[in-house]
Amino acid sequence: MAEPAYTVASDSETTGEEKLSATFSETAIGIDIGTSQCSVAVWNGSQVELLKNTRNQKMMRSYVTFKDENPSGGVSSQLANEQDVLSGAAIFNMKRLIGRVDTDPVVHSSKSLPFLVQTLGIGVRPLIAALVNNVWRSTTPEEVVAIFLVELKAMAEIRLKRPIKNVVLTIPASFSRFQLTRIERACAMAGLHVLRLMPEPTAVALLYAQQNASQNTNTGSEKIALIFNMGAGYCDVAVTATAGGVSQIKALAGSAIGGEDLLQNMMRHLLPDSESLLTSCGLDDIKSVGLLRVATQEAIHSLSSQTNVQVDVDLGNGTKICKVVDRGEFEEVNQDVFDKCASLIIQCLHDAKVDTEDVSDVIVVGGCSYIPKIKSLVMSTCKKQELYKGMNPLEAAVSGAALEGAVASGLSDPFGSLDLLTIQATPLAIGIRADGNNFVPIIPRSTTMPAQKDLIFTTAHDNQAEALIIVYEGEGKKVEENHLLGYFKITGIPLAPKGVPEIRVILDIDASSVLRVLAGVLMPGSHQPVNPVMGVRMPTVDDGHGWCAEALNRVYGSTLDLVTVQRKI
Amino acid sequence: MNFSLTSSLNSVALPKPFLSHSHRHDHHHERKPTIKLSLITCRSATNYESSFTYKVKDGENESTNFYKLLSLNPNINTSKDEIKKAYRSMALRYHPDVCHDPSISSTKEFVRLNQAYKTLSDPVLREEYDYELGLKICVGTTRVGFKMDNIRNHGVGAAQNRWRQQVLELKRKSNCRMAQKEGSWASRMRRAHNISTMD
Repeated sequence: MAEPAYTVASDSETTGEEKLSATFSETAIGIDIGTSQCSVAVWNGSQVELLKNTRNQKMMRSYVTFKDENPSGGVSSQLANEQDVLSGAAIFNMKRLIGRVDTDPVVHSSKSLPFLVQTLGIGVRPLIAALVNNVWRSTTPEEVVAIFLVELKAMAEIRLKRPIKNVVLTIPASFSRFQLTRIERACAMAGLHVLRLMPEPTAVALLYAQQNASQNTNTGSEKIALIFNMGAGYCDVAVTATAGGVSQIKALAGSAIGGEDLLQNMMRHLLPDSESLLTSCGLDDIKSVGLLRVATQEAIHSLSSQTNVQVDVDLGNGTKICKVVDRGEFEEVNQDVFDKCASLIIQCLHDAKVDTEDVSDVIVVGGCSYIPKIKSLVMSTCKKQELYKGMNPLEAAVSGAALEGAVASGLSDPFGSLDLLTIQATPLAIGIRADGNNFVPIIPRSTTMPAQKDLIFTTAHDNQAEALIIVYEGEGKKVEENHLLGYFKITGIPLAPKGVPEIRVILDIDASSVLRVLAGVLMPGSHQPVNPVMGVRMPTVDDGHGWCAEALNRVYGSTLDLVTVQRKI
Repeated sequence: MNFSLTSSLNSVALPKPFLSHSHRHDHHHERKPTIKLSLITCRSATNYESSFTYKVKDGENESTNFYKLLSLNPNINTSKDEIKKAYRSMALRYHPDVCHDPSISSTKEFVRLNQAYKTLSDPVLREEYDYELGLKICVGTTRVGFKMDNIRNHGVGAAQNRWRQQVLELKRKSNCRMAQKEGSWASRMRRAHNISTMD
């Protein structure tokens, strides 16, 4: 068996410390690992250039095949046809699975993919396996992404004739911090150092800032743009205020909805009662589903340019689909997805405190931007007659990442083309459990980063000597609706009536988006913490298991609870 | 300085320190407004190791004057566009992505810039900050006008809500002070700041 192509990095590797001392000797490249396609770009000294693989492609399919035990990805391998990808031997859509546990609905919807996704529904990582010589060979999303990154890295090294270490990676805005650690782990396995993780629409915002830098450098008047980015796996929205090359992200919103959902809804529409077939792991069934998948994908592509399409496919199991599908049907079966897209835009505008009339440009990018309904719904939600035209929808995010790579590597340009900056904002609120089972945000969503915020809590019981700080990320009011990031205990609280000790919790996010949680006890009349302050880098939870919190609850109940000092009225 | 809880409950004129500080606190506009011990947060030390040591600093000095942080002259007539422009040009110098000078703690600088920008770009927060700096003169009539503006801008509900939170906070502080004879650190801080004289 061949040696694995990736290096094994320790799981506890503190990449964050590394980030601070990273040497900026080389220009970081930008990588966009899409759910369905990947691309690499770099600042070549005067402009952004997308790198091509040996087959002269700028966009490479995101998949890894495990044929003959030798994994190979979509960068280098040449497949005879689409059907090979759907034979069970190829793993794809990993961006939808990375860092998710088996209770996640997104994992469940991935069961209809033509490889093995097994769930037990107990909050652990799902089992993912590829079919190799009639054996399900297990793998992990991190491993698949790492194999793919190794190929991208090798390709870039050949093209640029230098070793590649630093990368700026685009990520969905809705990724939890736990998912980000999984992406960083995949990069570490591939020998890459993550300089920045950039939510996709913010990368687009940086490209927009560059395109508009010359226009309004000195006028000081800013342009508000709404960026809508929808690919195969995720839909993200950002509102940005841009002037003089500086793009300030006012708000971010995102969800794990994308072309994959459109495809699956359409497959179910074309073949009703196909649930057992879609989730089956039999060889013939996988083949049938693969055929249906290819036919449906082609139909959806056709419906972007024509109003109806003839679907004609023999699934090989006795089922033949011969049907004319029109655009209206496609839009109807996907109404929920489109509604969700519109609600993300509305939420983002609301968070940014921006009215539609303040928006100068509406930018729609990503693979789904070719769908007429997507364009029309974004325009109507933003009350605009037309969309921004200056960008290639498939290359915008990776181009922005390459710009960020150049800026963050400390490059400057004699013509000022790199006097750019994206001021990021937090996509999700971060806070702790307090007041019973409530999630109390300390850093709200859409806070400018780097950020440092604090909040004072107090004990829930008289003479409470210890308190649990349980950190969550998300938008839910109850803690269980959010992602657990970690927990630790504050000890040595001086005995006092409840409500008297002040437990100060500080959340600190640095420019590399590293989160640190600090907590200490203060007693009234003193402004020095009673004991050494606790400083914990998050996330600390190993596998994103929600049940760590349940275990804590079982052992400690409410004995170590905290309450907020000021109750909401 | 002593807070009289009864007087603040009965009178519309709230003790100035709480009003100004809680307003200046940048949570003001977010979805769930919560008042915090504003004196801790309003001049946050971004070096997290030192965050727990509260610095007794005067609001008017070089390092904490929001106008000077943005390289602006403290002036109530500075336009919003000028403030935005100043913020952007300072961000291009101090944001950790672009500031590669190891002698500058860029994260700390940038967090302070944000705080300054957030205050000065919000009309209400800025007006209160200007009062506090003494850029606007606090005579009785202006004060009333200001309060009315405040209510108009935010709706009576918001103003009331905030006011009620402030009273709650006062109550809590007063309880804490009972526990500790010399008074809470916050009240001593207030004394050190001498803010009460502004009222």
